[in-house]
Amino acid sequence: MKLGHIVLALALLPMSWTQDKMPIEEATLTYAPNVPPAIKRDHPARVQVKMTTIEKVSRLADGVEYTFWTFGGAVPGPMIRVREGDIIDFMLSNHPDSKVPHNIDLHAATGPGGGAAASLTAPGHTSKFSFKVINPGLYVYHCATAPVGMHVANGMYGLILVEPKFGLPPVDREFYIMQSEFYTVGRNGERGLQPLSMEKAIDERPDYVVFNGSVGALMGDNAIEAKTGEKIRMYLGNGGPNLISSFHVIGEIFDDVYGEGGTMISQKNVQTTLIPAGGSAMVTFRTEVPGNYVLVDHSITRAFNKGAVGILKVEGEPDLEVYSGKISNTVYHPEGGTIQSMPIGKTPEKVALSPAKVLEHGKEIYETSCQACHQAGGKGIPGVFPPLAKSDWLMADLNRSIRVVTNGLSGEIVVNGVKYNSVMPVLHLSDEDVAAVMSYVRQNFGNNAKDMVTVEQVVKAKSE
Amino acid sequence: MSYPMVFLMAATVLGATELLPVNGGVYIPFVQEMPSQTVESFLLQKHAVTNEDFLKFVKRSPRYMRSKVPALMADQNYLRDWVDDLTPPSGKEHHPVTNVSWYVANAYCRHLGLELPTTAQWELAAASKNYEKEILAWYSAPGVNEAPVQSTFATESGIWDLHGLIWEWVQDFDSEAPVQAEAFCGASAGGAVDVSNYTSFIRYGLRSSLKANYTVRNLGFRCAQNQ
Repeated sequence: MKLGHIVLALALLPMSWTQDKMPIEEATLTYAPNVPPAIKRDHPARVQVKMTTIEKVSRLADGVEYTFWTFGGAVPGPMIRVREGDIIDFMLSNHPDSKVPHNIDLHAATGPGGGAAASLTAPGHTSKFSFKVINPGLYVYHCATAPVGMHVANGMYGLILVEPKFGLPPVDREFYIMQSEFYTVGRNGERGLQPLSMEKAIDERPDYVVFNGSVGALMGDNAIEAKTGEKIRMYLGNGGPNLISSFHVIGEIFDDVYGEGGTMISQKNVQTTLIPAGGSAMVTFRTEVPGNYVLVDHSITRAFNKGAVGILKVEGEPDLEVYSGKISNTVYHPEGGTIQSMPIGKTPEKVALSPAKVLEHGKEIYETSCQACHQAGGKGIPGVFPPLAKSDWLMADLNRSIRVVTNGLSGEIVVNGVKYNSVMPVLHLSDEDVAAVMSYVRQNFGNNAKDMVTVEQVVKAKSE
Repeated sequence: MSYPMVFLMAATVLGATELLPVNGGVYIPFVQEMPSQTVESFLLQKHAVTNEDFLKFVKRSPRYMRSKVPALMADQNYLRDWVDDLTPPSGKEHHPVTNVSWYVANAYCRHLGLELPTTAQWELAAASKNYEKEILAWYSAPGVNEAPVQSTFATESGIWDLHGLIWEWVQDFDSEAPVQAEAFCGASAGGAVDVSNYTSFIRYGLRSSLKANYTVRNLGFRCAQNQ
C-alpha cells in the first residue's frame, strides 16, 4: 500500500504546479525557416510572448514590392514554441507608424476569438492578455481585425507549436515553412510596388503563391540544408488566405505525417499532404541520397508559375542502391527515326549511291537527329549547343568528329572561341548514316570540305 | 447666445478654420443591428485642426498642455512630437495636430462652440465611391503621411483631406462597439452590411480599437457644427 501511495503522489505531482508557483520565462521566437529549440521543461510555466505588428514595404518577387502587414516585421511571423499546460502572457504591440489597428487570433487559445477581441490594438499601443494552452498541436495564428481577409492577405500569420507534455520524438533538423498567397493589382511579374487587389482576393485568384513570404525565400542561398542520413521534421503552415496546399517534396516520401497539425501520426509513407488554409501539418522523413529536393505545392502551376517552390539541399555520400543517378542518356525516337532494326532473315540491300544522293540522305539525318540541338543551318545555341556552321572544332579532326556522333561526348570544349560544357548523347546511327551526315555537315553550313566521308573511315574512327 | 455667435467670437480670437456646408442624407451604419440614420445638413471645418490652431488653444487652456493634461484624459504619447508645451514641431505648423485624445479634441471643439462630427456626419462628408481604390491604397501604405493640410484632395463640398492624410476622431467613435464583436473579430464578418466594402471595414476597425484617452500618431480631428 505504501508503494501505491508514492505512485499516487508522483502522479499528482505535475498537477501541483499552480499559477502562482509557475516559473516565468520569455519565449524564444524564431523567424522562418528556423524553429525554436525543443522544450526541456517537464512542468508548465508562464511564458511571456512579445510581438509587434509592423506595416512595411519589402520584396515579394524580383522587381516586385508589396506593402506587407506583419507580425514581427516578417512573413510569416515568428514561430512560438510552448508546452501543453503553459500559460501564455501575450503582449501585442502595434507600431506607432502603423496605419491601422491589429490583433491576434491564436488557434492554440481556447476562448472567444482566440484572443482577437482581447488583443485589438490601436497604432502605438500595447495589449496584454493571457491564455492557457490546453491542447497540444501545431497551430496557426493570424490577425483577425476587420476586414480579416485583407489583414491575412497582407501577410499576418505564423505558427505556434504546443508540444505535448512528453515532447515530440527527437529529430536531427527542424524547419518552419508556411505557404500563403498574394493578390496584386498587377499580374505575376509586373514590376514595382504592387497594391492588394481586393477583387482578386474575393475571387480567390492569386498572382503569387509562395513559401515563407516571397518568391525565392527558400531558393539559392536561402535553400534549407541537411545531411544524408538525418531525420527531418517540417512544421508546415498555410496562412492562406484561401488556397489549400498540396504539399510535396520532389524525390522524398514523408515517413510520418501528423495530419492537420495534430499530435498523432495519421498516416505513414505519404507523397503529398494537404495543408488547409488556416491549418497546419507536421511531416518527418529521413534523407537518404544527396542532392536538391524541391518543395512544391503540387497544385503544380502554383509551383511552376506563381512561386510555390523551395529547395532542400542534402549533402553527403551517394547511395547508389537507393538511387543510381543517371546511368545513360539516349535519344528516343518513338517512330524509330535513327534506330535501325532489320527484319530477321532479310539482308539489307547494299546500293551504291551517288554522292548527291548520300548528301541528300545526310541532310535528312541532320534534320531528324541533329537539328533539335544544333539548330537549322548548324548555327547552334551560344553557350549551350556548339555551332556546326563554320566550326573550327568540327573540321580540325575528322576521326574525333565521327566519334562524337558514334560514342557521344561530354566535358568542356572550345568551339570558335566559345566554351561549351554539355553532353552530346550517343546517336544510334548506322555507319552508313554516320558517313552520310558527316559528309553533309562538312560540306555545308559554311564548312568547306570537298570530300565525302566513307563508311570505312567511320568504322576505323569508331574503333580507335 | 446662438452657436454661430459663439463660434464667431471664439473664431475671431483663435482664427479657427472656415466651416463649409455639407449636404445631409441617409447614413447606413456598418453593422446591421443599427438603424439607418437621417443626417441634417451641417457645417464641417474645411481642413483638420493644425498644430498652429492647437497651439492657440493650449495657450488659452493651459490645462491641455502636454505636461499638465491628466492621464485619464490623454495617454503618455499626447502631443508626443511637440518640442515642449508651447512649441509644435518645427516646420509643421500647418500639419494636422495628431497624438491628441478624444477628450482633448472634444474640448477643443467645445471651446469654439462646435462639436466633433458624428460617425454618420463624417462618413457622409467623406463618401466617395469613385475613390475606393485610392483610399484602400492609402490605408494599405505604411507610415505616416507627413504633409500639411490641404495637400491631398477636396470633396465636392470643398472639404479637404478626409482621406489620404490622417485618421480623424468622431464624436461617437465607440457607438458601434457594443454590437461589433461578430463583424469585427469573426473571420466571417457576420453582421456587416457590405462585406466587400474594405475601406468602411478599416475605418470601422480603427474606431473600434480606440479608447477616449488614446492618442495615435496619425489620428487628428476637425470640428463640425449642427445647423
